[in-house]
Amino acid sequence: MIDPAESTGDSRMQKMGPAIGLFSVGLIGCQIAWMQVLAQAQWSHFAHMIIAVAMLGFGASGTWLAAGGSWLLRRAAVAVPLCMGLSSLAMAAALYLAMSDFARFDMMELFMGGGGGWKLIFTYLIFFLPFFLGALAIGLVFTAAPERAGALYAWNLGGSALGGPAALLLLNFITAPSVAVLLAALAFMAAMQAGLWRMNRCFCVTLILAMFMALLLPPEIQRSSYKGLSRALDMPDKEVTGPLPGAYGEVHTVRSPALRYAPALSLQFRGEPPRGRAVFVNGNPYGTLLPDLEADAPFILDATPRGLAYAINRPQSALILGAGAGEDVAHAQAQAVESITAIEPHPVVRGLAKDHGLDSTADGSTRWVGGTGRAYLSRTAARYPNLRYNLIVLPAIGEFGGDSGLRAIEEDYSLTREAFEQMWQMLDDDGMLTVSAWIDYPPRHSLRIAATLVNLLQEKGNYPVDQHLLVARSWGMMSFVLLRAPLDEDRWQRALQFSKDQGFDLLGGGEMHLRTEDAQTYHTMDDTALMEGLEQLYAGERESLQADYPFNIAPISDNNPYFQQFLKTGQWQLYREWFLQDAAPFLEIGLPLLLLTFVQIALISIPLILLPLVRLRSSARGFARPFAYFASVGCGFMLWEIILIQRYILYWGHPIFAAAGVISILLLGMGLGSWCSGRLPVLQPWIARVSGLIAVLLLAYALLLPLFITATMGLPGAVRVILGILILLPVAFLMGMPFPLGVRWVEESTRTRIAWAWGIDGYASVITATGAMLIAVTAGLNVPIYLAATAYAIASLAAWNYRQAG
Amino acid sequence: MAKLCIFGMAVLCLFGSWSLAGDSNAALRERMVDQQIKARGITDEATLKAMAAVERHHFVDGRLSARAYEDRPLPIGHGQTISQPYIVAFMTEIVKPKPEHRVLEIGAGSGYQAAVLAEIVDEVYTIEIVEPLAETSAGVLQRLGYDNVEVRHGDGYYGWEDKAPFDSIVVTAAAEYIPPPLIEQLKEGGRMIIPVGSPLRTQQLMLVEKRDGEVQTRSLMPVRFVPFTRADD
Repeated sequence: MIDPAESTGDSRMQKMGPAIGLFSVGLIGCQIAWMQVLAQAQWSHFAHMIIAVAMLGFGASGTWLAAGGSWLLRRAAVAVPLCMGLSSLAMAAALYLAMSDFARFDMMELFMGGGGGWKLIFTYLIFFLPFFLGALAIGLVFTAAPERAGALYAWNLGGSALGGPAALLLLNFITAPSVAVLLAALAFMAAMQAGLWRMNRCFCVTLILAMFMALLLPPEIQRSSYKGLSRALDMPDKEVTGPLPGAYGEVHTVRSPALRYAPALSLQFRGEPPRGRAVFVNGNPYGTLLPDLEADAPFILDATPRGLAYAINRPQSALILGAGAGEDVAHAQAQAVESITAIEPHPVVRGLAKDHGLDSTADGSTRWVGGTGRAYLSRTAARYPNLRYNLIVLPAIGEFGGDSGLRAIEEDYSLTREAFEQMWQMLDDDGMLTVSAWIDYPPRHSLRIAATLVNLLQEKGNYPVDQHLLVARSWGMMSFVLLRAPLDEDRWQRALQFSKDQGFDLLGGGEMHLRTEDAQTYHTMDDTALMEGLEQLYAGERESLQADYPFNIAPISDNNPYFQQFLKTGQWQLYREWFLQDAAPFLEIGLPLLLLTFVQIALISIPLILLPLVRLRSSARGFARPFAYFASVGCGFMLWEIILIQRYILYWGHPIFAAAGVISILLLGMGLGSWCSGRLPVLQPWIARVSGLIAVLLLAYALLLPLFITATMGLPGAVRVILGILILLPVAFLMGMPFPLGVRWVEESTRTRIAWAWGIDGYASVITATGAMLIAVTAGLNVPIYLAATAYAIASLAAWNYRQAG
Repeated sequence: MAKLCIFGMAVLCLFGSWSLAGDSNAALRERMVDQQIKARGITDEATLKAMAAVERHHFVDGRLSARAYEDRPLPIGHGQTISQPYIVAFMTEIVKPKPEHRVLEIGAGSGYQAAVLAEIVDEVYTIEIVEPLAETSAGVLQRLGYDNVEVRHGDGYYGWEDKAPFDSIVVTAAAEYIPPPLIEQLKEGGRMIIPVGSPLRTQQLMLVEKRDGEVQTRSLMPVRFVPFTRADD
């Protein structure tokens, strides 16, 4: 047990601020780079587990400090720089170890029973170690100099706030493994500044040289053989370019005679599909740069259901959202659309598409714009209220072959009710909106997008579905065309001709095509779920379909933007049966995986928190309230942070900016708050008031933030960034106070509790990081904010009652 | 003398265990046919016989051979899998193979599907685009005596024009499109079976039939799972 009397009294600990700040830049930056590497080697789910591992490292360090802190505290002057040095060494070595034959594993093979479970555990350990050692060093400094907790915490938060943006900036210029090594070197400099240089110069020089070598020879990413890029690299006579670094994900392009582009091609097509240059982002397929169209040759997408919109109308202007590598842009150009606006957030891919000849800025026919579709729609509506398009094209939904629900926890603001409302407003009187979906089994994506379009028409009123929604269906894909003007005979005949020529079944329009049995001329389906679902939607029975269907296919909203989350409360009995039949994991594993992660983390965390209690039983009396206080503060903050990132994805237009920006603002504001908290007296009323004020503010944010975002979405990007920062800073400033105030509060009784506070706060955060997503995906984005407010209210009560009890 | 006895016993044990392993695989195969294939409604005698005859454990990596007869796909490297036994049986039955048939397979992979087909028909032609897989599968098929199977490394898109037309085409690798040359190389009245979806996840099989020059497609019930039913069914 650590006691105040055992304090080292080392003034060096009080001056550790700059070293902690620099070290935090390296540690958090490294985390971002690792996530990028693991997203490339495996999938983004695995990469996000790094966040949980990081929080676990921080939490476990608190436990260690509580359990054996007095020994370490006596040696803090040596232990702190040594832990920092070892942590930075572990940072630099992590990717070499994780990508070695010894530790390398394939997540897909793990699911298939191909083994590799112990390698996964080893990989967790590899990434756990730097966080654990780093947090041990930071926690030790806090414990050794509690009177400086506010300032030290501010350095820690400030450094962490810089780490994310620093990594993102570097990722634009060098590859992710190199970024990780560079930031590990930065962390090592912090360790030297903390005292390692004075302790052993020879060791320092050796490590500096090793890190320099590592920069010259960064670790090579070993991808899963099931990644799209790995498969493409197996093709004969391939030509590869890349990796092209980018904060939005590293880009590769592959050309091979065997790589052709013909998604859900008509069986009537007798030509040869074009051989394009396939584009991959983080190893996943992102699009295809198509070759130049030969004169008079039909465009390949005209022989897919995606040709329906052009078959029935001749648009003059088109807005292509999520343009990717420009297949739909090329399609519009081939159809001689006079004015094309293509929106694509990935700058590298956008550049590739423009260089590929898909840019005609000079003559004004094609214009590429960065950012997300929603940002463009809001901005354009605000600046050019009279601008209208003949055609709006959305990218194909779903993945060929399905994705097993792996993307259930990814938000998609381009497919919400609010997004479709904005698109509708931007169509001219004769305009069309087209969106395609790969046919999935059981039908989920296809029925949800159909329900969303039908819902839009119903909300508008006086827009009969059969006159305003056409569907062309091939063996693998469905294309929906939403028409603002009712379908006239001329267009109907053109649609019929298109479907006959290409061998696609048509739904909508005439009376004959409302019955699903009539819409299965070319491609029949033994399973009736999709066709019966569509029939119900056309018959105006959307709500009963949504209620009866075993999956949630209701339209999504900005408050619950998870298009790919289909599991439904009330159907758990059915899902349980599927699990027993070994079927569910292959249908919807996204949410169960998240749940599994949550349970794993909770199980690991509970004994690690309770363990020191055994050692501390003599002082367990009066422990409940500090425990409640720190756990609530940890939970409340993480609930708020996770949900805020989700909200800011819509506001700032990209998940990476939202994540890095929100984390940085929160940490910066908290750093300032933490610094200022040193001026506040350590009195329970103050501690209680700060937490109570945060709770009230969070309630206000839950109610007002969506309105604020909607009202200011149309402003220029720079203004939105400034407004976004300004609106967050007050609450971030206040959120920086409860932890250091709490540390000073418990420090008055015993220092062991400081380590405990550090651990509990970390564990609460790690549990909540996954818990917040679980709640958001199932209940929407506001509920976690209400819970965050409740958590701070509990913290306030815990501090208040403690005083009264004391 | 004692050493000789020990050596002799060791040799006997070795052969014994080899023989036991053979028996064990035969028993696993029999159980696979009964529990995974017959129980799910595969009734074609020729298919059942072929599934019982082909030694699946030779077509998987040594470290996974003990799991060869499990009800699941298994990895074979290069992002490919050997399909779940039931899928192989279903695809075999649905193309209605006859001894006099000539069958084209696109995506040899491990070579297992080709071996099953080769138990039934006279000629099997199989194409694999990943060179190491083409070499491995050709080696295994040759070693097991399937001399009515011809393996070629190449792009399956063009089919095998020299040997066309085919009574059946079995496409074992899911693709975003169905190559037009394959439709042309399908005999009138012929059947082509294609998995739509990833072999690792939900998979539906699609039947392509050519009748009177017209091509029709039909999505069959998904092969991995029980039929999907709605709440009001």
